[in-house]
Amino acid sequence: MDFAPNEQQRMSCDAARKFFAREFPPQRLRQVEQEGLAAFLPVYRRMGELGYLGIGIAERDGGAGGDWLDLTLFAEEAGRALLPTLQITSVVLGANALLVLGGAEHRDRVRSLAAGASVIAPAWLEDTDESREQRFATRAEESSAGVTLQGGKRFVAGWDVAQEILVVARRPEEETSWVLVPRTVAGLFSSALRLSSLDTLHDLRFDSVALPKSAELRGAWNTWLDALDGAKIVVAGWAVGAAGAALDMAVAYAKLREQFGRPIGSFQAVQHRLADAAIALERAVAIVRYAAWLRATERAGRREAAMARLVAGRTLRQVAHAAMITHGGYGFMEEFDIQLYFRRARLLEWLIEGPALQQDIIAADQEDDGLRIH
Amino acid sequence: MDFAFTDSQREFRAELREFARAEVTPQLFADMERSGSEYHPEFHARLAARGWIGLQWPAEFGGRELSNLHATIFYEEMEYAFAPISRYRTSVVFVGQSVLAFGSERQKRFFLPRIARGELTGVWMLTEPGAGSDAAAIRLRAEEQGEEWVLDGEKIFTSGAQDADYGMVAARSDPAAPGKTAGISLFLVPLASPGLDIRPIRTIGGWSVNQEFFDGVRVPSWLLLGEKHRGWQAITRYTLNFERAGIARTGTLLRLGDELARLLAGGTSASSRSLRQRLAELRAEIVAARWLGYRVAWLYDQGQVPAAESSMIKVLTAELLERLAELGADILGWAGMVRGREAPLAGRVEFYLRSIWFHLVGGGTPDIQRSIIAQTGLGLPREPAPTSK
Ligand SMILES: Cc1cc2nc3c(=O)[nH]c(=O)nc-3n(C[C@H](O)[C@H](O)[C@H](O)COP(=O)(O)OP(=O)(O)OC[C@H]3O[C@@H](n4cnc5c(N)ncnc54)[C@H](O)[C@@H]3O)c2cc1C
Repeated sequence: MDFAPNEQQRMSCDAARKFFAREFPPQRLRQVEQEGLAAFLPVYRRMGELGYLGIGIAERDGGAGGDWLDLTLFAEEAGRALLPTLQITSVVLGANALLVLGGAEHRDRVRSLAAGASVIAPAWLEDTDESREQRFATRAEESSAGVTLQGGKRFVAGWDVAQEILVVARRPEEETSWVLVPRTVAGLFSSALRLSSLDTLHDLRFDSVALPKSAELRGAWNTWLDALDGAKIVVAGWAVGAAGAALDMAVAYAKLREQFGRPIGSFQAVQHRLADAAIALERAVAIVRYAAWLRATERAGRREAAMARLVAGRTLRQVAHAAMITHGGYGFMEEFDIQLYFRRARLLEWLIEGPALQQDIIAADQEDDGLRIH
Repeated sequence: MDFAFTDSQREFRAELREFARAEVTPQLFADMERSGSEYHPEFHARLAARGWIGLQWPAEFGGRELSNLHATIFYEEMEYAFAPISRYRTSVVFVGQSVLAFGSERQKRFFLPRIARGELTGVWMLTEPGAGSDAAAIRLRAEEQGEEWVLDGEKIFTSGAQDADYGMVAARSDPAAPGKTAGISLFLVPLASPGLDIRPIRTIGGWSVNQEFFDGVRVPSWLLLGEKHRGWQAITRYTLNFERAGIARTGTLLRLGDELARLLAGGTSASSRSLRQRLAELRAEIVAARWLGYRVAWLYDQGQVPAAESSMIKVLTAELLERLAELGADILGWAGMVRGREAPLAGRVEFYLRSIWFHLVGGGTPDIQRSIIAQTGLGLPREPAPTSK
């Protein structure tokens, strides 16, 4: 065993941290909150040029190389900076799903996504409880011209800047297909939803959207689930990175802020809360990196991915809460940066898949944990 | 013991419910969204017209001579309807109750009837940049000059100062007094006074609180509230307890609990069963808190000012509100993160979660409430540093 990142990982994390400090300071994030994702695109494209977006995708497939552990360590840095999660939906899920579902003919698409030159918005959620069953109401029917899409998707991330969406739909024979839909197609309607984080998601409606046969990708349901597993680990990395930054801010504030003639960090109530946050964070980092390593080394880890996702999401909520209350009334004021972390905690707990579904995945697996040793 | 409400209390509740049904309209919320304020002057005027401001005050000061239990019923019913009553609270609970408890005859005659008629609203200005939890550390200076006091310094986080009439200001009137809790006085300061600069601070709740700069603000002597230099004793004996008991959020809790139950009704999946169980647990705690709230009001009706119980009801209801909103968000999933009146439950789950800090921190943080409960309620020794707010 070796818990230390290797030389290469250390250097690239260090470079990423500097890059974000320079290119994505909190005032940039506040600008994105005001103006929307379009204001993030210049940074996003630069990340593409530097190879950040393509981490975890082989060079021959249009990526930048590196494995899932490299990607997850990078995600921790992105999370520290509260970077918008466009890379997770468009590349980590979108491009990777295209590769496993569509294969070589989508390499150019993948290359463009990994370069940040284009954006895809995967759309799979509907109005039902989150589930891993293939029970979509959105239908892809064969037609003379190709395929016709009917139905709707909810809570689609990245739609505002996407050129295409990847819609998960059900065919008449009850199997699943994935349909590439250009944003300009006739019969596609969208409505915006503004979140607590000030991110904008969209509900989409497909009213007999006609597409060519080539727009439809077919694959095994499990390959999609596997793509979700991968993306989930990356969100978990994002979440623990954000939690680490929030804890750092709270600790710094607790040393600086004085009440009763001494730093508030000297009060046991404050110390214990931050110590609990530190415990939560250390355990979350441990399982997130473990889950990433399992994936990087091609070991089965669906259960661990769910555990990492669940623990990381909860941890960010707990740590952000502790950090907010440490700031007293100041945490509630817009001009203090800690609120930026708090307002994103739930989003990073739910992105890709939420906590209840992780509980289901863990509960459904009958294996003993004691015997799961890799 | 007797847990029954009197006929008068029951009829009062029915009257309030009827009023809320007719008067708490979507238009009200649209108005406040537009003005960016938690205060709705016309609605406040309608409450005054009903004679509901100063319910528990003597008739000679414009009150109705009703019990504190009536007041509790009022808050509960207004909150159950999500009616805007935050300025009502600062005016009645913080300022009015303090004037009644330790103000001069002249102050009572001036302030209480005006507050009761809805002509005058007031806010509470205690916190300073250097004096939050350590509220006795205030530095805003009050100097006596003949028939006037001159105030210089800063206050921060004042709710409602942007459009209220008077601020109840805690100031250091005798800097030479031994110990920080000595030498503090309270003043009722017209917010339109020359030299008083009020600036908004935006919160993430969508509304603003205020920061005030006092630069030679002159206050006539008769507006000194309570005994000179003994303000801290009045604040801790009365005002902070009124505040904490008065900001209990029982009505909001009851309403959200009922709404969430409606959302979950009929679901048969395993997950909806486990959510219903979590909600059931919370509703039991909410009804328990409701009865603690009634008991606190009853203690006030017995002439007591129960410090530990006031802190209990404050921290309990604030934390319950957070847990309930968290559960609401878990029930709603992504929709629970969506802002705005088009979202489920008019976006209230998202709103209360985002602005829970107002409930947790305003009136003193949960840590401070717990210290008060431990020290004044349980008689435990103090931490090395004294606990004030
Ligand atoms: C929305 C809002 C509205 C408000 N409205 C008003 C108003 O109308 N009028 C008014 O006067 N004030 C108002 N306040 C101010 C409020 O009372 C203070 O913010 C609160 O008392 C905390 O003070 P602080 O913000 O300086 O935090 P700090 O005192 O700096 O506290 C920071 C952290 O340290 C902890 N801490 C501090 N001392 C101790 C200790 N001895 N033991 C253990 N832990 C400790 C706190 O619990 C907290 O977690 C408002 C605040 C908010 C957020």
